[in-house]
Amino acid sequence: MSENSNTVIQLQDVVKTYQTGEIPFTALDHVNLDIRKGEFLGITGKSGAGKTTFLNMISGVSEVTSGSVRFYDTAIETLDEDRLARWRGENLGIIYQSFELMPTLDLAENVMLPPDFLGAYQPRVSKEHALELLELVDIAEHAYKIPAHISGGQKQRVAIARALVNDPQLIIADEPTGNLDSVTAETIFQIFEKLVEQGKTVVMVTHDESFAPRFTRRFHITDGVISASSVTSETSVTSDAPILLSESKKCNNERVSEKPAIILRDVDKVYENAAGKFVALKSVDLQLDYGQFISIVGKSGCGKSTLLNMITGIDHPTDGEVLIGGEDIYKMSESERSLWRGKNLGVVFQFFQLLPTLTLLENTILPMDYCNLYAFNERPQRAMELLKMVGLEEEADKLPTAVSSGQQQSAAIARALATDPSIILADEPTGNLDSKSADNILNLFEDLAKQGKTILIVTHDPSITQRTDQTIILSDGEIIDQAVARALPFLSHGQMLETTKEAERRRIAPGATILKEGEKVDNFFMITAGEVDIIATNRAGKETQLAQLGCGQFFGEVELTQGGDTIAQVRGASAGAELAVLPRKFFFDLVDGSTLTRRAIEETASARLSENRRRKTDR
Amino acid sequence: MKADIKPNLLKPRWSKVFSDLWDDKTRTILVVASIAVGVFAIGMVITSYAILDADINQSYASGNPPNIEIWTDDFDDGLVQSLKKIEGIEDVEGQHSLNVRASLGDDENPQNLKMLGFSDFDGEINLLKPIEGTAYPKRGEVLISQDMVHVSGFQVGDTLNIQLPDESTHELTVVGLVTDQLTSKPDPDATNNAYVTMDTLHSLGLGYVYNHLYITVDGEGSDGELITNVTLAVEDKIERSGRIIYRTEERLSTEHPMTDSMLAVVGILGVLGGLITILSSSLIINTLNALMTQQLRQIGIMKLVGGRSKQILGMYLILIVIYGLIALLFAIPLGALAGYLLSFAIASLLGAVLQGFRIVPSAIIAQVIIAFLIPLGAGFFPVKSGAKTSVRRAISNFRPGSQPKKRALFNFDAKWVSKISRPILLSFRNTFRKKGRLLLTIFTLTVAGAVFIAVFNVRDSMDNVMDQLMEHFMGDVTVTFQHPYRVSEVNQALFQIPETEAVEAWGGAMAELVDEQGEVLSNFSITAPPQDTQLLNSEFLAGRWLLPGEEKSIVVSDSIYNFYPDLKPGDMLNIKISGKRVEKWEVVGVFRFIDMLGDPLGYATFDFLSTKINLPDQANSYRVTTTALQDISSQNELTQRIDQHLNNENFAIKSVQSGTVLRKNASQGMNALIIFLLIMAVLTAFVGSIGLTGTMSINVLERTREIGVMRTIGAVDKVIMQSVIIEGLVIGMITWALAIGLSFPISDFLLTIIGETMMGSAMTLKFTPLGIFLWLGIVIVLSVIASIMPARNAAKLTINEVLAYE
Repeated sequence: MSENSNTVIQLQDVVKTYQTGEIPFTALDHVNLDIRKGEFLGITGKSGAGKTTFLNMISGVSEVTSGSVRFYDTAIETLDEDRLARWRGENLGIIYQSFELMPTLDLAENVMLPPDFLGAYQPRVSKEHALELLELVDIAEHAYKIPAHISGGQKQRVAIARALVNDPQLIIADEPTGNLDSVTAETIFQIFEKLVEQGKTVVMVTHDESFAPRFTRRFHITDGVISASSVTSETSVTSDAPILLSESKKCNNERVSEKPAIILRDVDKVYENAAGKFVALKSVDLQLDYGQFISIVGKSGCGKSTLLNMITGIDHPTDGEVLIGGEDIYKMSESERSLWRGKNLGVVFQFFQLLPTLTLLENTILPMDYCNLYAFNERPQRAMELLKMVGLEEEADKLPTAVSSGQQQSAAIARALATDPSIILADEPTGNLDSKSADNILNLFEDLAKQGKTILIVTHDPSITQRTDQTIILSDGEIIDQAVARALPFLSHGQMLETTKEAERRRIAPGATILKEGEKVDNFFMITAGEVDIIATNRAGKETQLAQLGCGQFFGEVELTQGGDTIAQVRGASAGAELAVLPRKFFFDLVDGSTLTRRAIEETASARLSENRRRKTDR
Repeated sequence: MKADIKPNLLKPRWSKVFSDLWDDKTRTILVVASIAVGVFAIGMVITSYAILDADINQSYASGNPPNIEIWTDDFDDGLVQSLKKIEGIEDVEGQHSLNVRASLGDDENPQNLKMLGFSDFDGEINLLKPIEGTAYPKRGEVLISQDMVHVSGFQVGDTLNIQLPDESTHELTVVGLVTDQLTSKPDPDATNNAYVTMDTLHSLGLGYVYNHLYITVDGEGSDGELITNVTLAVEDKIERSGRIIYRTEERLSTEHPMTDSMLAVVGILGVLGGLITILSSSLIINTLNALMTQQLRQIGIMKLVGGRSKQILGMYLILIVIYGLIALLFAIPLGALAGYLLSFAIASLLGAVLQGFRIVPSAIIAQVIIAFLIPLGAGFFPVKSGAKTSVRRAISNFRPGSQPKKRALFNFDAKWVSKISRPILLSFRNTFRKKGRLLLTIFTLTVAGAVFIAVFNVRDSMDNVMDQLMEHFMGDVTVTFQHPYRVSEVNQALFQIPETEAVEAWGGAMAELVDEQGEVLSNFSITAPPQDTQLLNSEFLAGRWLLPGEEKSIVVSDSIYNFYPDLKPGDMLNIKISGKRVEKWEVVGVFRFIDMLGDPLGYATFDFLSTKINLPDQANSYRVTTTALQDISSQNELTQRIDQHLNNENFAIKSVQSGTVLRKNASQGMNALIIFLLIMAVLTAFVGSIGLTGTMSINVLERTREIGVMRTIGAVDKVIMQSVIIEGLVIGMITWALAIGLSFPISDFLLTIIGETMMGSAMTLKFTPLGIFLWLGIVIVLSVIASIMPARNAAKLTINEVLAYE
C-alpha cells in the first residue's frame, strides 16, 4: 500500500480489549476496514459501542490488542510514542467533541502550535497561514481572543483550523457536533463537507443519525462489532433516528394530577460568558406525575441535562419556577437544597460517580449518613438489602474499581435509593455501558417504576423511549409536543419543534363537529389530548362510527394527500379533544422536507382510504 | 474580516509557558514562594557568614587587642618600660584595674563597674570604639562601655556616685559611651567597664600605680607560639620583680575570641537553611505533580498535534526555570538584606563594627544554583513522567492515583461498618489516597515541627546549662566584700534580714595548674563552699564530693580533661595557689561543667582553703538563700535592702547581686541565638504551612467532582467542610506525633553543635513540653486554616460547576 494507493488507513483484524474490574471488555472485535482517499466516512453507534476506540486505533492513540493498523506502508503500532506524535502531527488532523484548545493561547497561537512542534514555525509565514485557516472557517475576526471568549461552535471552527494547519492526509473528528446546538452543528458539518469536496479524507464518529445519509460511506458499531450501515441517503434524507413512543400509553398532555411530582413553569436557562449568551432552555412548562418511568430525549446540546439539572436543583433556572413535591426548591440555599436533594431525590450519573475510596456498601450507606436517615446501626443492613436488590450482595465490600462498569452503575442506583426517595433522576445512565449491562439497568428502572418510584432518565438512545411511560423530547431547549412527535415521528427534531410552534391549538367540545363530510380540507389535524370520532353517514342519514382516534394520531391527511373533499365527518368524542392544527401550506412544506414522513403519511392515508371504501362497500 | 498580521516572535509553545505562568497566579505564587524561602534562607546565611567572617576579625584586629593580658601586684611605669625591651614585644600598656560601685544620684542600688585607669587615651592597644560623646575623658570624667550584652543604663551627661573599695564616694561625669570588644562575650558576671585617666584615679586617692597589663607582640599578632613565648618571658620578669601574677590571658589579634562560636551559630542557621531548601523542594514536587495532573489532557492534545515528549518536557522545564528566576528576583535582595541584618545583630553582640552593607557574590552564586537546581531536580521527575504519559491516558479521564487500589484502607468487617461514620471514614481514606503527596507533606511538616520543637528544647537545655553555670557562682543574693569578714559576723548581720533562709560562706583562691616540669598549664580557680553546701548540685562524671575535714583534696571540672585526658579520682594534681608553693592535691571527683570560661574550676573544703590562704573562718563571698519571690522586682528590692543593711552595719561591700538579675543578663547572648533559631523555626513552619495549604488545595481541587457528588447525595456545606478539615487535621496530627519523635535527634544535633562550639562540650538535652504544645496549637490552627480555605471554596461551588469540572 504505497502513498499513491487509494487506501489511506487499513485496519486488519483489529481487536481492542480493556480490563475493567475483573472482567475484560472487548471494545473492538475483529474489525477490518479500509479508509479511502477523499471519502467522508461516518462511524455511528450508541455511546459505549466502540466508536471512540475505533478513532483511537486509527490515530495511534491506543494500542491494538491484536491485528494491525496501517497508514499506507506504515504499521502504526510499530511506531514509538515520539514517532507517533510526529506522524500524527504530519499526517492527521484530529478534532474532538470538547474542542481541546489550549485555554491560555489565543486562537491564532492555537492554530500555530502544531507547526511549532514540527519545527516548521516561522513567525510571519505561520501567522499568515493560521489567519487564512481561521478565515476559511470564518473565525478570523476573533483570532486574538482566547478560547474562553468564544462560543462552542467558534471553538470547533478553531479546532478544525488547527487540524488543517499541517495539511494532513486524514482528518479525524470525534463527535465534533456533539456539544453544539442544531444550527451550529449543521454549520460545522457543512465545513467538513466542504473539506471533503476539496479532496480531504474525513472520518467522523457521531451518534447523530441525521448526518448519516450525508456520509460517503457509513459504518455502524455495536458492542465493538463494525458493520456497513443499511441506511442510505434515499431512505432518510434529514430524519433523526425516530423516537419510538410506546403505543399503548397516553400523551403526557392528558395527564392531570392533583399532586404532580414535578412542575416546571416557564423555565428559562440562559448561560452567559465572554462569548455571549446561550439559551439552553426556553419557556419550558412541564408537569410529571408520581410513579412514572419518563425519558427525556433529544440530540446532544438540546438541553436534556440542563433540564435534569433544573429538576435536581444542581443548576439554577434563569427564570421560572421549579416545584418538586410541591416545594419551590430554588427558595432554598444551596446547602439546604443538598440536604433536601439527599432526602427526596436519587441521582444517577453517566459515569457512576461512586466515591472511589469507599466500598460499594459504604457508598450506599453514605446518603443515609449525610441525611441522618434511619437508625445508625440499621444503615448497613438497609444498604446491604439495596445492594442485594441490584444483584451486588457479593460485591458489597469491594471498591468501585474492583467491579465492572455495569456493576458500578447498579451500585450507583442502590445509592440513589438509599434514602428511599420518591423520585430517581438519571443522566445517561446507560451511556457508558455495553448493551447487556444497559439492559440490566433499564430492567432495574422498570422494576422501580412498578414499585411506585418516579424515574426520570435523560438519554439520547431512542430505543429506550419504547420502555418508558412518557417521553419528553427536547430540541434546542424547547419541549416538542408529544402529539407532534407521535404523529410525525420521522421529522427531524428541528422540524418537530417548528411544527409544535406553528400548530394552532383548538379545544373541541364533546360532540362538536370538526370536519363535515364532503367539506374541503385545508388543514392537517393532530390530536394532542382526548379523542375524536370519525363518523360516516349513509344515504339514509344514519351515522356509523368508522374509528376513534386518540392522542398522537392525526386526520385530514387523506384529503390533503389524495385530493378531494372529506370522506367522513370528524367530531369530538365524549370527553372532547384538543387538536394541533397545521395549515395546508406548512404541512406540504413539511412533508416535502421529509421523505419518510411523506411516505408514512401517504401510507396511512392510503390505508384509511381503503378501509373507508371497504366499510362503505360493506354497508 | 481578515485580522491584521502581527507576527508572533515567541513560538506558540513558549507563549503557552508564559500564559500558564500568568494565568494561574496562585500556583505561580505557591511554587515561587516554595523556591524563594529556601533560596532566601541560604542567601541570608551565606551573606551573613561571609560578612561576619571578614568584618568581625577585621573589626577586632583594627581595635588592636592585647595579645597578652596580665593581672598582678601594683607596679609603675618602670616595669612597663623594662617589659617593652623583651624580644617579640611590640607594645606594653599599664593600667590600674579595680572594682567599684556606681549609682546615679539617689539610686540606692549601685551597679558594679570594673574601672580601668589609663595613663593615655591615645594608647595603641585595645582601641575603644566611641558610640556616643567623647572618647577622651578628662579629670573627673568617665567613659562607660556598652554593648548588647552589657547595658549599664548610664547615659552621657549622667553624674555617677562612685564608691571605691575603701568605701569612699566620689562623683564622676559620664562623657562618653564606648565599645570595648574585650568585654563582648558571654560572661556570668556581666559588669560594665568604666574608663578614667590615671589623673582621675589619682584624684580619687589611688596613686599612679598599675596592676594590669596589655601587651601586644610583634607582627600581626597571629603567631600563637610567639605569644606564649613572650608571655613566659613577661611572667618570668614580673615574678622576678617579686610580684604575684594573679591571672594571665593570651589571645590572637586576628581572631575575635567569639568568631568560631558565632560562625558556628551561623553554620547552624545554614544547616536549617539547607533543611528549608530541602523541604521546599518537596513542595515543588507536590505542586508540579498537581500541575502535570491538571494539564494531562493538554499534554495529550499537544502530543496529538505533533508534540514529542522532549518538546513537552522542555516546555515544563523552562516553566520551572522561570519559577526559579522569579524566586531569585525576590530572594536575592531579601536574602542579602536579611543576611546583613543578621550579621549586624551578631556583630553588635560581639561589639564589632561591620564595614557596611554589601552584596556577597558567593551568596548570589549559591542562590542562583539552588534556585535552578533544586526546583529542576525536584520537578524533573514529575514533569518527565507527565511528558511521557501516553496520549490515551492523557486524553481519557484517567488521573494518576485518582483511582485507589482494589482494597480499601481501614477496611473493616461488615460488623464494624455500622460503628464508624462513613463521612469520617471518607476523610481518613482520602487522607491516605495520594500517598506520594501525603508523604512529602508529612515529611515537610514533620521536619518543620521537629525543628520548631527542637528550638524550644535547645532553649531550655541552654537555660539549664546557664542555671548549672550560675549555681557555681551565685546564690539568690550574692554578697561580695572588699575584704574577708568572719563568717559568724556576716551571718549575724544577714540573718537580721527576715527573708534570709540560709547563708553560705564561700572562700576562693586564684591558682595555677602546673605540670611536672613546673610549667603553668592553666589558670585554676579554686572555690571553697561549705562542705554541706545546698547550692551546688553538680553532675559527677567520676568520684565524689568532698568529705568533712578533707585536706588537699579537690573536686575538679571536666575541663581538666583538656590537660589530663585520663585523669581519674585518686590522681594527684600540681596546684600553685597565688603566692604559695606548688603542692600536690588529690583529685576526689570530676563534675560536668560548661567549658564556657575556658579554664578548669576546682572545689576544696572551706576550712582547708581558708586556712591555706591565712584567712581561717573568713570569706569575702557569701551566698544567701532567701524566701523572697524569684521575680526581678522582688529580688532587686531585697538586694537593695541587704546592701543598705550591710552598709549600715559598716561592712565594706564590693557588690550585692541578685542571682535572678545576673542570670538574666548572662543569658542575653543565648537569647539572641534562640531568637535566630526561632526565626529559622518560623521559616520552616512557613514552608510547612505552604506545604499543607498547597496539598489541601490540590486535594480539594482534584476531588471537586467528588464534592459535587457528595452534595448531590445530601452533604450540606458543614459536612463538606468538616470532611476536608478532618483530612487536614489528620495530616497535621500525624506530623505532630512524628515531629515529637524527630525533635529528639534534631535537638541533640543542635545542642551538640552549639555546645561544642560555644561551650566546648555537648550540652545535655533538657526536654520541654512547651515546644510540643505550642507546635500542637500551631499545627491545629495551620491544619484548619490550610483546609478551611479550599473547603470553603469547595462548598461554595455549585454542583453544576463541580460536575462540569475537568
